[in-house]
Amino acid sequence: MEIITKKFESEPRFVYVQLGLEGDDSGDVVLGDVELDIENQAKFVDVINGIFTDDMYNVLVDLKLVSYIDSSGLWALFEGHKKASQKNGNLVLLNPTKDVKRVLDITKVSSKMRVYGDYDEAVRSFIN
Amino acid sequence: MESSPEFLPLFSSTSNKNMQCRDDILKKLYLGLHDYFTSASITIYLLDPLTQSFFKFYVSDDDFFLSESEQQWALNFSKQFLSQHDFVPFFDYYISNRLESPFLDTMKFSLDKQTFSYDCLDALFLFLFSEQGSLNGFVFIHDWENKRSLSLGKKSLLSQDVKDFVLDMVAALDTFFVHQKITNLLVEPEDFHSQFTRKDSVLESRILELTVLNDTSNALGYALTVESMVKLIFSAMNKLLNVEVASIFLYGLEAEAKFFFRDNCLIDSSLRKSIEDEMIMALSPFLFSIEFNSDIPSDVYRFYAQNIKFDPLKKVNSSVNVPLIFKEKVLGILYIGSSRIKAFSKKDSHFLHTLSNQFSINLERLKIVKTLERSRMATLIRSMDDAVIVLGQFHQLELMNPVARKIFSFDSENVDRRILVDCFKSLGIWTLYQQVLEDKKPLLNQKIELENFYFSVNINPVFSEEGQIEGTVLVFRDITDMLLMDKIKTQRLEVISKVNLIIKSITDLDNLLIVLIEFILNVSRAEMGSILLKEGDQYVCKIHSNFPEKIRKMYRYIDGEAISDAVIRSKKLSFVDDYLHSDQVSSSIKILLDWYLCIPIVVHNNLIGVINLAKKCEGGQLSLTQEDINTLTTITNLSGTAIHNAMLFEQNLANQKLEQELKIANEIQSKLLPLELPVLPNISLAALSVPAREIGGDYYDFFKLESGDVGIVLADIVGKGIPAGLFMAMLKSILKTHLPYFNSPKKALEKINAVLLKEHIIDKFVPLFYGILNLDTMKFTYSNAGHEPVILLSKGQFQQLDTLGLPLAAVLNSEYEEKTITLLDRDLLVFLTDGFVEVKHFDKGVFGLERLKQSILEFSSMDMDAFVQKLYQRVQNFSGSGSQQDDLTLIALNVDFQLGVPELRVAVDVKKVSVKSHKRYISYIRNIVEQFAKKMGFLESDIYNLKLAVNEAQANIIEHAYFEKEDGDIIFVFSAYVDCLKISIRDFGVQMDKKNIEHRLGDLNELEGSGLGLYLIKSFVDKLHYITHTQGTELCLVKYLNKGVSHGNYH
Repeated sequence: MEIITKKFESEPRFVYVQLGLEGDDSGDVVLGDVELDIENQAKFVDVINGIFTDDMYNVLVDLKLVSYIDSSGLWALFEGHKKASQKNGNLVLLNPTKDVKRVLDITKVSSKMRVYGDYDEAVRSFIN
Repeated sequence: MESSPEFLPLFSSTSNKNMQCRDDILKKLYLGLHDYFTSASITIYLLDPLTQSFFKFYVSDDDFFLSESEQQWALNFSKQFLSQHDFVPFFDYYISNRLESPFLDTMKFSLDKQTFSYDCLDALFLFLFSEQGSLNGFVFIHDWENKRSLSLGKKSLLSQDVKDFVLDMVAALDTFFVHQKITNLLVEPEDFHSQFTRKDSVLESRILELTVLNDTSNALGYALTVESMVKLIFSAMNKLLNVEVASIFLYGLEAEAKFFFRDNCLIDSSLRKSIEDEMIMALSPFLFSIEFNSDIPSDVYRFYAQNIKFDPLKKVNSSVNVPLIFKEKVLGILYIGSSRIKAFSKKDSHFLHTLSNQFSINLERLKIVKTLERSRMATLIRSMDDAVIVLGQFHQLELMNPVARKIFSFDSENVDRRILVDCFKSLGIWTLYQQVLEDKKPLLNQKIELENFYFSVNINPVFSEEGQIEGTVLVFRDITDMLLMDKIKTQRLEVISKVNLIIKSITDLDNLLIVLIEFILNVSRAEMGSILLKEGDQYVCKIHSNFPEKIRKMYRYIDGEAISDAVIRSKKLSFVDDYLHSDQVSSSIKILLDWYLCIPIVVHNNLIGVINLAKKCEGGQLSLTQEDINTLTTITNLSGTAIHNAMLFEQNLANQKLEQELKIANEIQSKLLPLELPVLPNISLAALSVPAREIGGDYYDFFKLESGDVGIVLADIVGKGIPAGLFMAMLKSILKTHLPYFNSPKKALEKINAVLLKEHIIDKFVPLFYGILNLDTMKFTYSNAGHEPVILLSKGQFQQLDTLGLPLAAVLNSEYEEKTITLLDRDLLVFLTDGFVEVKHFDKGVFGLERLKQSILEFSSMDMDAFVQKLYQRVQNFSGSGSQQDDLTLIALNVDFQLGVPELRVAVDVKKVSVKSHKRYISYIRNIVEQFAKKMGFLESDIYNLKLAVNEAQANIIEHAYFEKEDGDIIFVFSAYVDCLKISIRDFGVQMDKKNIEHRLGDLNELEGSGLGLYLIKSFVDKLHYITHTQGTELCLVKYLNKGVSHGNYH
């Protein structure tokens, strides 16, 4: 699993997190489907915690390439959300796949976290 | 005749025509009296009012002068007279018998008497007073030389004429004195002034003198040491006298001590020597019998010199020596010296005299006090149990009590100093004593040895007020016995602590016993010993030294009970001293004994063994003392715990080994039981087996027979643990080999019995129920080999399916019965082991058949999986106790014709995958699920759901059943049916608490831990249930294919 983070320092300040199977040659974009599960969720948690220590609490997690998520993956997302909220920030989700969306719905995670289908819309959510 | 006081010439030099001069008046008086008392001796004494002393005029005969004390008496007498009578110019006092008069100086009188051999004893005093009422002088008249009485030939002693004459003379004298004084004042005002001042300063010095004397006298009265008195005397001298050097020599103060004080002397030694010489010279007339320079070492003397600097260039030009005398005893001498010539006046010597009198009195008082003290102390010391020796300042013996005399073997209690010193030197006490003197510190508890006796010596110096050592008290306490005891105790403690140390370091029982027996034989000096330890109910000899059981058992009490057996019975130590002659014990023994000791080893009030010790009879050996026994008991007690620990350790080791074996056996066994139940047409089946301990003896299995029928076996192997487990494996293999070929349970059992007995596989009985079900006819033929009967519930009626027959492997050629029934729709067969019936509640008794039947009836309409769980729980709850009493195994079989075509119930595909409990296998299994489900034609979303459900289940097992240990087994069985996918996930880890699982399943709002996972599982499958196994848990998931939508390969 490859996780690429991009920091946007101008308003609204946020970090864009992309998950994928691997990074492309430029290192800016990830490619390939990835499964966020008990095996690799720790890596994701580390990245999110790293962002928080940089004093950034607005995080946009792009789930476009996450084909599968299990309870530990869900837990990782939700923990990130809780921490960001405590600092008046937000961890929002972008473009979950159909299956992942279903899991988010069933577990009611989607009722507690914001899920967007559009990048700009998600970024705008950080303004308020 | 003494020289006139200096003021007297003044009188004579003064001329006054009207006045007769003093000498004329006195001459006239003398002559007049001489006329009257012809040939008598007449002396006129005039009083110097300043010094209050007399000087003599007109002495007719100097042989009979009045001594100083007699003059003093006269002065006091006149004063007393004046205070008691009205004024008279003169008073005549006649003494008829000198011997009886108060003024007598006896010494001088006897001297007079001897010299002049007279017997005339009368005398006349005429006291002459001034008009102011003070004494001017007196006339002393006697006729001792002529040995005539004064009254001889006279009517009265003084005629009126004479009286008148004396009156005239007194008046004249008085007038002269008064007049003279006035004239003196007028003529010589300056002189008057100086006189006045002088008088003033004389008065002042007199007052000072008196004050000093008074103070010193008081202080001396309180002083308790000679040193403090000497200090006071010096201080008094300092205040009044112009002294440059002063010294005091004291003599004969203590019984044998001769003191010459010498200290703080700033004068040089030659001067000191000369002072000393002078003092001794001055004193020598009093010291007839003492030789000073012969025997007494110089350091015996002490000398106090006043702390005054004396120029060594100067010479002592004036000195006064005043002897210290009390009741005619010479105590010493006071000395003062100065470089000035005529430095000391008569007045000074008067003062010194008074001081010396005070000093002497107090020295004597001190002596009495000291003697009293000494005698009191002596009484005390005499009564002491310890030896006491008191030494004086110069090492001379002051006191020795009888104990000390005995110890040092002195003949008497008065030992010469030198003998004592030599004795101390030879015993090494001298060095200690010298050290004490040098350090000025007491020496305490010094151990010394005197001819095999040990003493604790305390040497205490006795200090004077100045911090000087006045003497020394030596106390010798005999500690020989104490030391001996100490020595023994120390030795024992050493042994005990050694044992303690060693036994603590040894955990191995055998080594521990070797060390222990060596120790106790050593301590007890015995040759024979053995240690018996408890094993089960027996006491087994674990180690012995020349003391095998055979021999040990011969040592018995008279009643025949072996000594150690009696100890085991009573848990009390037994000691038979002098075994040979004891009448308590049997004498028919092989080896003659001195003694026999048997010590119980008791830990926490439990006897864990005994120690036997015996000493061969060799004669002349010491017996065992109580101390020895105590030591041995202590060692035993100490090692008892260690032995106990070692035993537990070994047991623990064995247990651990067993546990390990059990674990392995358990794994084998749990795999012996069918992992999944057969799927049979029109039959719903469920089974459950929960062992009470690690390995149960219950076994059930299903066999597909050659005939196509199904064989159902339930067995309860007597015994537990590994052998039972292994035997189960054997049984399974034998059954598997033979059962398929028999259509008759009776014959099958007879065959199996024969095989079991023939092969001698095991010597245990095997109760076993075997039934064969024909799936077509639903005929159930069964045979029971001594097992619990099977319960049939048919149309609401219970029936017990049973036949006669012994358990398998009981007897050769055992014969069995068989019976057949036909099962109807909704009939329920319950196979169970006796644990279900016999489970006990501490209060309600056994569960019993009736309760069992009731429960079966109650749950009969349930799904079979639920049925077995409920029934198990019912029984568990009944027992009430946390732990299960017996193995519980249960098979429930329900006939249900509605289950439809048998073919549908057969799994079309089965895939079994076994992985370790490692996270990396999660995605691996996920892939298998995906492939298997895809093949079956599940929708993509369902595939996703299945993947997730299995994924969560697997993660749960890793986390909660194996606690993330990565070597646990997880077995997945995927069974594809026409309409559903059944996934069984089996683990062998810690069983999950069902309540906890259920609780978590119900609490879904919190996104935490495994709760979310379980929620996902439950959300994504159609059916879910747990089966609790011997070890671990089996989770069964069922997912139906969406009806009407079939993409799978099976269609």
